[in-house]
Order: sequence, then C-alpha cells, then structure tokens
Amino acid sequence: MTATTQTPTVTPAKEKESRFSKWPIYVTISVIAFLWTIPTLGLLINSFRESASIRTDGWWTVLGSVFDSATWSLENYRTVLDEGFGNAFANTLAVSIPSVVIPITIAAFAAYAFAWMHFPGRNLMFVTVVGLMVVPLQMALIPILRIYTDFDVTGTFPAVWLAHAGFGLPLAVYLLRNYMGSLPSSIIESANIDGADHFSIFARLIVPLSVPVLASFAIFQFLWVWNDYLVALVFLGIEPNVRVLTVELADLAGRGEGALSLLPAAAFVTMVLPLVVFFALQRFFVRGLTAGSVKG
Amino acid sequence: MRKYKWLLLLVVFALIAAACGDDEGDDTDTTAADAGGTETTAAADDGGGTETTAAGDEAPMAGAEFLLFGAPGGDEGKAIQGFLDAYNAESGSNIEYGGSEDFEAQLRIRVEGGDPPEVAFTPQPASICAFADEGHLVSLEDMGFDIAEMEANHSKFWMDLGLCADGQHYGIPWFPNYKSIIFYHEPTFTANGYAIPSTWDEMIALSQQIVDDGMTPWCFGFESGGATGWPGTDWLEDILVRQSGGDVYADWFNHDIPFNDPAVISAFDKFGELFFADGFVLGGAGNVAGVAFGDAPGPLFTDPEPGCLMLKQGSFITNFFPDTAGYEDGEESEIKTFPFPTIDGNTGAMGGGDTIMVFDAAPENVEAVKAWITADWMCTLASASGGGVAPYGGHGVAGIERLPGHKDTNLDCYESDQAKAFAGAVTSALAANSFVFDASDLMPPEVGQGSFWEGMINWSQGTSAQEVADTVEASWP
Amino acid sequence: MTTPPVIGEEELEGGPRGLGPPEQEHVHTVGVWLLRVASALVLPAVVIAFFFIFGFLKDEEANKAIQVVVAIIAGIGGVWALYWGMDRLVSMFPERIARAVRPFAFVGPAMAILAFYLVYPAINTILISFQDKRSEAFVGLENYTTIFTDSFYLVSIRNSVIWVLVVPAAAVAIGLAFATMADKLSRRAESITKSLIFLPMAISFVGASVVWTFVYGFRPEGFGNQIGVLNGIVTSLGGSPVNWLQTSPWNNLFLMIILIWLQTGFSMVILSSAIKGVPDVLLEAARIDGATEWQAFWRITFPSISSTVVVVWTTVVITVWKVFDIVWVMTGGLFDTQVIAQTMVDEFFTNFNFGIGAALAVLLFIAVVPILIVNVQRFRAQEAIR
Repeated sequence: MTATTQTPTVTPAKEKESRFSKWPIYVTISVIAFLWTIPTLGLLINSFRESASIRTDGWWTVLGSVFDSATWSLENYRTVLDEGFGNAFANTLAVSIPSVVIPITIAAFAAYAFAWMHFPGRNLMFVTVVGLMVVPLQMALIPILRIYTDFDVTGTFPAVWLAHAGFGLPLAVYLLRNYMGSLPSSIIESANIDGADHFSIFARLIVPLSVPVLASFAIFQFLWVWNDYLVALVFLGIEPNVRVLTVELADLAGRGEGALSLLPAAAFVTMVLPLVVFFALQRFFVRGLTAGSVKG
Repeated sequence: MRKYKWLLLLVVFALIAAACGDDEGDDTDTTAADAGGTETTAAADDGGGTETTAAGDEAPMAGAEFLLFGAPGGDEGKAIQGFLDAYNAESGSNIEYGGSEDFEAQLRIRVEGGDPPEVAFTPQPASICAFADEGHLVSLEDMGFDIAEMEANHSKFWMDLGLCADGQHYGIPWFPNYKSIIFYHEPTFTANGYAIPSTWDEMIALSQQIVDDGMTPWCFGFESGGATGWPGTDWLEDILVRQSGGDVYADWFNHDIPFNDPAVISAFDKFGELFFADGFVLGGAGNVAGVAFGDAPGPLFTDPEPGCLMLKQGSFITNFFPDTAGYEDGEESEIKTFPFPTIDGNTGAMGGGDTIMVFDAAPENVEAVKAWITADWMCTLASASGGGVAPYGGHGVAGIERLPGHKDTNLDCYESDQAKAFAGAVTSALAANSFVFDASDLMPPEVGQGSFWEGMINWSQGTSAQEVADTVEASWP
Repeated sequence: MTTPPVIGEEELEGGPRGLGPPEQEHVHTVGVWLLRVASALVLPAVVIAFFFIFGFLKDEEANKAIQVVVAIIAGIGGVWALYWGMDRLVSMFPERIARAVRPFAFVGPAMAILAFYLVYPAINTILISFQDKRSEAFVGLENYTTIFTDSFYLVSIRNSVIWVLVVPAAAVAIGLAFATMADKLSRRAESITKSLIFLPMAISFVGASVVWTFVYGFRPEGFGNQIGVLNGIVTSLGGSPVNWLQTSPWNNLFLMIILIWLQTGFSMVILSSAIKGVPDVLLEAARIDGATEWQAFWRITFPSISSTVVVVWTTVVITVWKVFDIVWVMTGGLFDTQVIAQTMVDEFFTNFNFGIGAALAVLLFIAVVPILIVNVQRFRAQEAIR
C-alpha cells in the first residue's frame, strides 16, 4: 500500500508540473499555426466551390453549410486536370530533380573547402558568393540568354538545369558552409590522425553529418524550381512540348475571370508534390542526429 | 620519376582542355551547317529542336514552321491555335501558338537575348517601332505588301501605328477589340421608358433621371492590381476623341501637343460632369479605384433590382459576366449595349488591336501572314462556327468572337447578334478610317502603363484635372 | 574578438587549424596558379562537353524519363565521380603542390558556374547602369543622380529600407520562437504544426497572389458581399469595408505581412534543424543546474545557433531586398508601395529603361555590403571557437 502510494506521488507531480508549464507553448503554437493557416484555408475552401459563388460570397460563409452538397463542387479541379497536365508534370519533374541535385553536390564540395581548407583568396571568394545572392535574377536573364543563343542551347533541359544550379548555388554554399563550419573540429582532426584525406573526410564524415542542412536546402531549391515561372519561360520557352506546370497554369488562368476560380484549384494541384517532399525529408530533421555522431 | 609524372599530368590537363575546345568547335560547325540547309532558321534560330526537324523535313509544299508568339492565353489562346490548325491544314504548314501572360517583357527578353520569335503579334503598337528602330523587324515594303491596299482595308490610322523613323511600315493589322461600348440593363430601361441616349448631354440627363427615380445609373471599377487605373483612361480617350477630334487625339498620343493641353483638361472636365455628379456612381467616386474592374459589372445582375444600370467597358468584359447572365447566347440577356454617345455631333470608335510583327521574313512566313489578314481568314478567326460562311470553316472556341481587322469581313462570320453589331461598328469605322486606338497603348510605357493610370486614380480621388495632367506631362520621357 | 580586416584579405596558407603540418612558404608560383585554375575549370568543362556529346539531351522530343535518369546519374554519380577523379589527379602531384591545388578543385567548379551565371551578369549590370536608357551611350552617374533626387525612387528606397527592417526581424523572431516551441512537442504534433507554417512556401506564386485576394479583398457598398476575410470581419462587426491595399502608408504593412507569412517557413525550417543540432547533454546539464527553460534557451540554445540566426537573417534580408512579385501583383507599386526591386523590374521590363533599372540593381548590391561584413565577422568568430 504504502509503496504504491509513495511512488505515484512523486512522478505525477513532476509530470503535472511539466505539462502545466507547456500550456503557454501549446497556446502560442496553436495561435500562430492558426493565423498562418487561415489564408491557405480560404484558398482551399474556394478551390472546392462553384466559380460563381467564389465571386459572390466570402469563403467563410460556407462554414454554415458545410454538409450541404450544393456548397461543394469539383468542377475547378476537373477543369484544371483536364488540361492535359501530364506532359507539363513530366516536364516540371525533368526540370526540378537535376536542378536540385546538381547545385547541392557542387555546393557541398565548395562549402567544405570554405569551411575546412585554407587557400589564398578564400575570404574574397566566399564573400563574393554571399554577395551574389543579391544579384536579381531578372538582371541575369538577358546576358545568359545571349550566350545560350550563341551556343544554340536555348530550349533544352540542360540549359535550365545549369541556370537553376547557378542561381541556387550562392544560397546553397552559404547555408552549407555555415553548417559544416559549425561541426566540431575534433571529429575532423581525429579523422585526419587516422590518415583520412580531405575527400574521404568529406564523403564519409561531413556529408552524413550535414544531412539536415542538405535536406533543408533540397526542400527550398525544389520548391523554388518547382514553382519557378520566369527561368523556365525564358530558357525553356513556351513551345507546348516543353511547358512546365507554372507556364501551363498561367496560360490556363488567362486574363479573364478564370483567375479566381481556377487558380485556387491549380495551386493545390501543384502543391501536392512539394508537400510530399517536405514530409519525406521531415525525418531528417531529427534531434540528435549530429549530436549523437559527435558524441560517438 | 616524379618529374615525369608531373609532365604527364600537365599533358592530361592540356588534352582535356583541348578536347573540350574541339567539342565546342565541332558543335558550332554542325549547327552552322544545319542552319545553312534551311534559310528559315538562318536569320533567327529557335533552339535546337525546331532546327533538327526543319532540316530533316523535305516536304514538297513549302509550309511555314514556327511558333507564333502573342499575349492571349486560356480559351483565347486556344481559339488562335484552332485558327492556326485550319491554316496549317490548308497550307501544309506547322505553325503553333505560344501565349504568355507577360508577353511584352518576354518578347523584349527574347529579342535582347538574340532569340526572337519568327512572328509575333502585340497589343501594344508602341513597341513596334522600338523593335523596328533597333533593326529587329522586316518592313512591309521589303516583304512586298501593298501599303495602299492595306491602308484601304485596315485603315490608315492603324497602318500609321507601324510607320517608323525610316519611313517604312512594320506593323501588320490583324484583329481589333472595341471599347466604345456602354452596357445597360434593358428591362429597367423599358419599364421606365428610358430612351437610349445618343448624345453626351442626353446621357447626363438620363443619368440624372435615373437618380431622381431612386436608382444609381453607373458602375465603375478601376482596380486591376498593378494596372489599376486603366479603365479610367478609356473613358477620357473616348471623350477626347469626340470632343476635340481625331487629329488632336493623334497629336496628343504622339506628344505633338503636351499631355496637359487644354483639350485634355476639358475632356477631364467633361468626364467629371458624369463621374463626380451626385449619386451617379455606385459606391461613390472616391471608391472607384478600389473596385476590381471585373467586379464592376456585378451590380448589373443583382436581384431583384440591379444595383446600377450602365457600365462602359470593352467587349471582353462579357467574360466577367456571371454564367447565369445567359450572355453567351446573346439573345436572352437582360444586358444590352449602345454605342458611346456623340459629343458635339462627333462620333468615334475607340479600341485596341493586335498587330503582327515579322522578325524572320522567310517566304513561307510572309505568305502565312499575308493570308491571315485577308477577309476570308478573318472570317475563320471570327468565331467558333465562322457563322457557317467562313471559307475555311470556323475553328475557334465557343464564346470567343474576334472582331474583324479587315473592312470587308462578312458580318455573318459572327455567331451572336451582339458580336455582329460590334463587328459592324468596327468594319465601318475601319472603312472610314475613324477607328482609333486606345491612346494609353500608344504612349511610352512610362506614361501609358504608368503615370496615366496613376493620374486617373488620383483624379478619381479628388486631385484636380490640371494637377493630374501636369504630373503626367512631367513624367513623359 | 578583434575587428577583422576588410573583406578580400587573403588568408595565409596553413595556419593553426589547417590539416596536417602547416604548409609554409610560397607555393605562389605561376605553375601552381595555372594548375589551380585548370583544376577549377576541368570539371565544368567536362560537364559541358558531356552535354554536347550527348546531343539527345538537347532534343526536346527525346524521352523525358531517359533525360531525367541521365541527368540524375550525371548530377549525382557523374559529378561525384568527377570530383573524385579530380582529387585523385591532384593527389598525384607532390604533396606540397597537391595541397595548394586541392582546395581549388573543390571550390573551383562552384566558382566557375557562379562566374558564368551571376558574376558576368552582375558586371554587365554595373556597366549598363552607367549607360543611357537603351544602353547606347555612357551617361556617367546620371542614372544614380536620378535615383537619389527623384521623389518616386526615393520613396522606393524608403519603403525598401522599412521592409528590410521589419520583415527579417519578424520572420526570424516568429520562426525561432516557433521552432523552439515545436521542438518541445511530440514528434507527430511537431511535424504537423511545422508543416502548417511551412505550407505557404509550397504554394506557387500565382496561387499566393490569389490567397491574399481572399484576405485583403475590398468591395465598397453596393458591389456585393465581401470576399476578403478581413473585410468580412470588419463588416460583420458593423464597420464599413476598408480598402487595405490602397490606404497609404498602412498598405505597406499589409504587403509586408504577405512576405513575413512566406518567409517564416524558411527561417523556421533552418533554425529548427540548427536547434536539433544542439547537444542534449548541454541542455540537460543546464536543467540539472536548475535553469528554467527560458534560461536554458538563452544560455545554451541561442548561443549555439547564433550563427544560424545570422545566416537566416541574412538570407531573409537579401530576399526582402529582392522582393518584387508581391508588390508587382498586388499593387504594382501604386499607392506609395513601390520598393527598389519592383521599381527595377518595372524600369527594365515595362519601361525598357535599362540604365535606371541597372542602377537600382547596383544599389541592391551596395546595400548588402554591410551585411557581408557582419557575416565575415561571424565566420571568423566561428572558426576561432571551434
């Protein structure tokens, strides 16, 4: 009796306290998440409504008639999907995957060198890289297009991959260098003592330890490329066989009243894959991945 | 031994570098050869894909093969592709249509990047001479167009928009749109015995009558995101061209008279008679800049009583009418139209239009463009059915009806009575050379797509006409 | 921490934290530099050659699946193999030379690509900024004088400065708070709440512009029901609808909220991954010492991730300098909402006034210099402590 009463008195009290102290966290998180979701929620609801009612009533008015089937319509999705998006989807994938993989690989090597190697011009080069983040994309389009035209590569996939790689590199190098530079020098020194050279330190130690930052950059680069309109339009063109999703969507919405009714549905159709990628990479943002390895 | 390794490495580096150089060299050679095979691509390359196919194709008929570049998207773009399909079938060509939302910027990027389209059509005639002066376009004279005949068919006014510094023509009129239209709620007009106003003063009197009868005569909406203000410019232009005549109008957009000329101030004042009159404008004049132009027709359709009875807007606004309006059938709609009334006895037809520019004058390209502007092909472009009279059939999209850019276009090419009426107004205006373009499309972009729009917003919110016009004048580059 | 010398100072070879014995004296011979340049250029050259050799990659009609597969193999496998090959090649040199050349084999390809895609356009832009409208004649500083005297451009600059002060601060603060708090939730709750904040980043830009139409939408009386949620709230409380985006100066704030909404996801994700990297032992130790969660955060977590905070802040600042599409679509810079980047795009692609557009771009380059200096200081501090 006594034994059983005694033990619980200690633990629940502690738990209770910690749970109680978490209430402010729950409330704050919920409020922020709620505020952040409202705009998207409005879009989601409108994407399932008749185009006429989108224009006549606010999306929140449906909350009173959620179970009325007349409220909802799949018409917008049908129109969007009927447009033969298959080809555009394939094009977008063909653009996106290499446009993410190529800059990440190149940036990782550069970031490692910036973080762990010493060479003349290092700081100058690194500052240049960071400074290049500010070069507006729009300024680069015409000069690059001129060169592409001279070499006759406009309208090809490699042309777009390399352009995306170029435009994404500064952020990639910057993020990766910051992360790699913050890894404790002890692990690298110990590896060095074991006789490993730079290449194997990079491949066997740094890259596995940098998975979280590689994953986060991959997400952003993927999103950027997936949702990009300008680069694809300029370097790939509007020829029907090479159009990417965003170009197709802009065309679908046109300038007319279609914008308000079709764009919400289209936005969700194009959002599916980025969200899948986000959830897939979510598991790399796990506590202790780096800490664990460092300790070991 | 070590030294030897050293040298070997240097040789390897050199070889790799050399190999790369060779590769690039070879590639350029091949492309040059390819391009030589077909004159089409020699002038303006359009990526590898097109070229390869062009080179391998030994079609007996010299059909054109290019991507026609323009602004319309969505159903309008599909209607143009339908038209091209008909032409392709007829001529053995392979012309595709590519439309882009931000057509003007894209065209500029492509031209600057050395990768212009073969043929494009622009809604902004101001850009034609910009490209021509830089030597990117081929003149109509060089392509063997008959200028006099074209001036007769498509109006001298339109042809002159493409008349550039070297005295040659570079713009080929294709299809216009029409803006001197007032939509009105017919049942209310009938029930109250309102007559269609034919003069400006009658229109003011009618508006006052409507106010006295407890209703609101006008709907306005100037909001259009980054282009807010443009619907106001249309009003001002329609007034100016009637009040001061076509010559003053032309002097105005050519900047031969300043933007703040007294004639313009007086057009503002005329507009103000209606715009600022008590109770004339639904929601109040000060809120007009906040009403989306696409929302402006909404109150015409409210039940049981319309919120307003009249709206001036271009023919395209019917795309924003509710589906329930039955407007696409033309017949049953409660909303009808009348032409913008006369001022001091002067009439006018104001609108815009798409004008073709040729960057690559390969014979088959020229042949295609020459065909498209004939009355017969205009008929095919006109509507989805071509009214049953189109020589090559109608190949468009239901509900999309393109107005004619050729004075002789058969009005029976149109399906709806509404479009027939617009087309009639446009063809007779073209024949009489009284069709004028929306001046904001003809002014430099700093003004026509900038300060003029902004000026209309400020004016609608109470800034004086003189101050607005002075500001716009100061912004003229 | 001492103030580091100006950017661009070349660090000496070797040094206390370099690998192996410090590489001393000058390997700065011409030959070594040639090798460095060559090692930097070989890889991109091979990649380019590869694209030309495999001509089918240029064929738009070619099977896309094959293209993607080839690209992935080239992107991951090929690029890795090339780096590996380069590393082997370099290693064949005498150790002294190899050590001097190797970093360039690592950094070089990135620098070569950047030189082509960004440095060259940037230099081009700087040149254009001293030329007239259509880049036909040099006009000296005329474009810059215009920017700094014309009230229109001055308002752009003022607005941009306000954006840069407000948006990164808000996005980083909210992102950091959220990442820290979400870290204390259960795995599943964390994943769900984080993805809600992340969601805006996944919406394509065309979609995002519509999203905010349904928030800020305005219809004066007589034009039907409100379709914007803010005015929905205002009118249901008996107020009259507000024209959010046309009421200066507050419209600037409403536009900034859109960017904060978009960027918080970015800062949250990056900061979250940094927080995950803070060793548990340290936090546990602090807790055992009786620190509250608040104290533990400021004493342990924040110092550990401060360099990431600077990185995120820098990135968001640069994004804000470059923001144009939000303003472009929502107001077009009307109603005193113009910002530098949107004005730049407008000058470049609407007015075709290349000179002014380029000068505005150069202004953006210059504006980030202080941020670069902060970053160099951070990185030196980071290297000093590790």
